[in-house]
This record gives sequence, structure tokens and C-alpha cells, in this order.
Amino acid sequence: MAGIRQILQRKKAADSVRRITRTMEMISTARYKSYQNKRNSVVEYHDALAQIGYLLVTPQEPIDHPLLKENNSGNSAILAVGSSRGLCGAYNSYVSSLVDIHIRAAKDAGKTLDIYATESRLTSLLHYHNITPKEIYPDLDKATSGNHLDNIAEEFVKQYMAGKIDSFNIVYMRYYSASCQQAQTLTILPLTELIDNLTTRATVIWPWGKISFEDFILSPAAFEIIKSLAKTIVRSSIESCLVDAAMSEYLARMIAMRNATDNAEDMIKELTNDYNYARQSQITGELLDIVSGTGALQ
Amino acid sequence: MPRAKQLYWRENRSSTMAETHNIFRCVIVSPAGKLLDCRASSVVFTARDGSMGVLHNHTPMLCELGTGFMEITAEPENGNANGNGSGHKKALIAGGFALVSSNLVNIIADDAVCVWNTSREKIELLLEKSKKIIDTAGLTSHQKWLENKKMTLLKEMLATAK
Repeated sequence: MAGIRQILQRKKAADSVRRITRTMEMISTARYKSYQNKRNSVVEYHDALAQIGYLLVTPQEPIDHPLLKENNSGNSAILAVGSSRGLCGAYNSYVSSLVDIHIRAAKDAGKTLDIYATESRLTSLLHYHNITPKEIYPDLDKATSGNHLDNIAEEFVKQYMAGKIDSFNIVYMRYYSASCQQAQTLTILPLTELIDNLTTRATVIWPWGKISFEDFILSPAAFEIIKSLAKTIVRSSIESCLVDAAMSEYLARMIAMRNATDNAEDMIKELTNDYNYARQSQITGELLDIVSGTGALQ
Repeated sequence: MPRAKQLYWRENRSSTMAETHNIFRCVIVSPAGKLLDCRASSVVFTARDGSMGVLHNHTPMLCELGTGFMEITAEPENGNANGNGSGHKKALIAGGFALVSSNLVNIIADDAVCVWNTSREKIELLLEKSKKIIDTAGLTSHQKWLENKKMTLLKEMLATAK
């Protein structure tokens, strides 16, 4: 059994670990809550965009626009969103394994796959699996400015319109609820698939009754509106994926840190018991020494 | 009177009032949330190709927004003449879409600032933010032009702010 001093040292170490993990848990909780508020506030904006999108893809005569048509360029792109910090359980591994599935699926289909990634621990995981991302966005995180996202959205929209890519997906950790987050793929381009996805997620469904696309006056023409809407909708979808990923990350870190705090508390309890036992043994030993010493003197 | 009947009566009364007073609903949503949801008698906003006015029973319309001020003549809720939130309202809208249908004007703004509930300090902060964005590298000339226009309008807001 370790000595009293060693037990005390271990107890102090466990206590400082407990304080650190407790603080990290509190920080993660606060950030998770702030992202949750952000996510809740943007719901109506997404619903409204989904309504416009639905309107533009449901005319009696489909609008002839390259963003609404599928192309067969044989090259697709994915944007993988990972966590830049550790201590969040298997968060990055889930995203990495989904990226791996995409790579295998592209190989099986005889397609090429361009991987774009955020600057995160995910990139080192990808390098470990001999996957080299085409581009890494170093400053694409949850606090990215609107203009930076605009540029990224515009780049992918241009690539799709030029026929360089036939699909653009985001691989991220989707937040369903506080008890359920899953690595998922959201198809951003072709636009019809994104609109389909957004209308499925929307809380409002087609509120105009009998009014159809043909009843609307459009300014500018539908072709131009689709182009502008594509940029807005792609940008807001990337942003919402980043927010979802951030929420899942902070939640994962919160849970990991709570478990670490609980474990440290358990350890402290055990060490306190050990310390008390060792201290009591020492006292008993000292008393026995005194008693036996006194007995010898008599 | 049963609750359901009361609600039905109220709804009917308000719709009749809307027809007689030519009132419709105006909603502004942006990524920051729902900024306004009120009854209005007229709305003027800046579309991509110039100002556009909307009155009661406007034909369904979808248009792209430019950067500029939006003016709303808000009416009190539930026909109460002393209701809160009525009067002339002004908001700065920077890009987005306007969807008009079934007496509902839905402004889906990329960025919006409500003049009536924004303090001087907040406007100054927004101006600082705009300046920083303009100084950022990698902006296209169009993005810079839009941000400059927004800054000019914010300065105009600051001059009239209390």
C-alpha cells in the first residue's frame, strides 16, 4: 500500500484534474447553449428559404437552369466538418468513417471525389488513412464571417454550373436532439435535392393553398432568382451544418468532461478512504509503540 | 361563450376589419430571427431594380431585394387604436427576397437592422463591423460596394438615432 504522502499527492492531482474537467464542462455547456439559441433563431429564416425553393422547383413547366439539372461529370465533392480540438469522444472518428464510406462508394461507381475539409483533427485522421484533402479551409469554423461563406458557396455553385462537379455534399455531425447526434451527409448540390431536404425539415409546409408558381410575378426572371437563391441557400445550409457540428461537438465534450469529472470524484473518494485507512493504521501503530514502550519501562 | 366560439368570433371580426381597413400582415425574418411580425397598411422596400410598394390584395410576387431602407406603415393589433407597435416603422435591409402572397408580405433578409429598436451604441458597433469587413482581404468588388452602401445607410441611421 502506498504511503500517506503518495496518497495525498495522488489525491491533489485527481482534485486538480476534477477542477479542470469541471471548468471545461461548464465552458462547453455555455457554448452549447449559445449555439442552441443561434440554431433556434435561424429556423424561421430556413423555413422561408425552403418555401421560396419549393415554389421555384414546382412550376408546371420546369425551369431550365443548370443548378436544377443533374450532370454526369463523374466528379463529386464533399466538405468534411470536424472538430479542431480533442477531448470530445469519438466525434472525429464518426465523421472520418463516413468520409471513408464516401471514398469507397466513389471508387465503386468509378467516380473521382474531391475532399474539402475544415482545419481540424479530422485532417490528421485523413492523412493517417492516406487521404489528402483537395483544400483545407483554415478559418472555416463556427464563427466564420458571412462573406467568407459567400465565397465558398459561390465557388461550389460555379463549379456545379460549369459541370465540373455533379454533386456537392457536406459530411458533418448532425444534431437531432440532446441525446442523439449522428454523422450524416447533406446533399447541397443539385439544388433540387437540397430544397427537398429543407422542405422535409421545415416546420411550415406550403401555406398558400391553391396559389402556384404560375400566379407569381417574378423580379428579376426565374433564372436570375434561382442563381441568387442558390447562393443564399447553399451559404445558409453550410452555416447551419457548421452550427449543428459545433453543437454536437460541444455536447460530446460536455458529456466527456462530465464523465471525467465523475471519475475523478470517484477516484478522490477512494483515495480519501485509502488515506484515512493509512492514517488510522499509522496512528494505531504509533499508539501500540507507545503502549508497548510504556509496558517495557514498567 | 365557449372558448372555441370566442376565438372563431375574434378571427372573423379581425378578418372583416382587415378587409375594411385594407390591412395585411408584414413579417421580416433574417438569420438573426424574426425581427417583425405586424399588421400593416402599406410597405415600401428596396428591390434589386428599384423601390417597390405593396398594398392590400397585392398580386402574388417574388422579388430579389437590394440594399436600402424598408418603410412600413404598421397598424395596431386586433383593431385596438391605442395598440403598441403601430405607426411608421423603418428597417435597413441588405439583400434577400420578398415574398408577397395571400395578404402576407414576407421579407427574407440576408441582413436587417430595425431602426425603431436599435440604439446609437449598437449602430456604432455595426459600423465598426462593416469597416472591418471592408478591410478584410478576399472581398470581391461587388461585396465591397454592397458593404459600403450598407455603411452609408448605417451612418444615415446614426445621424437620426436618439
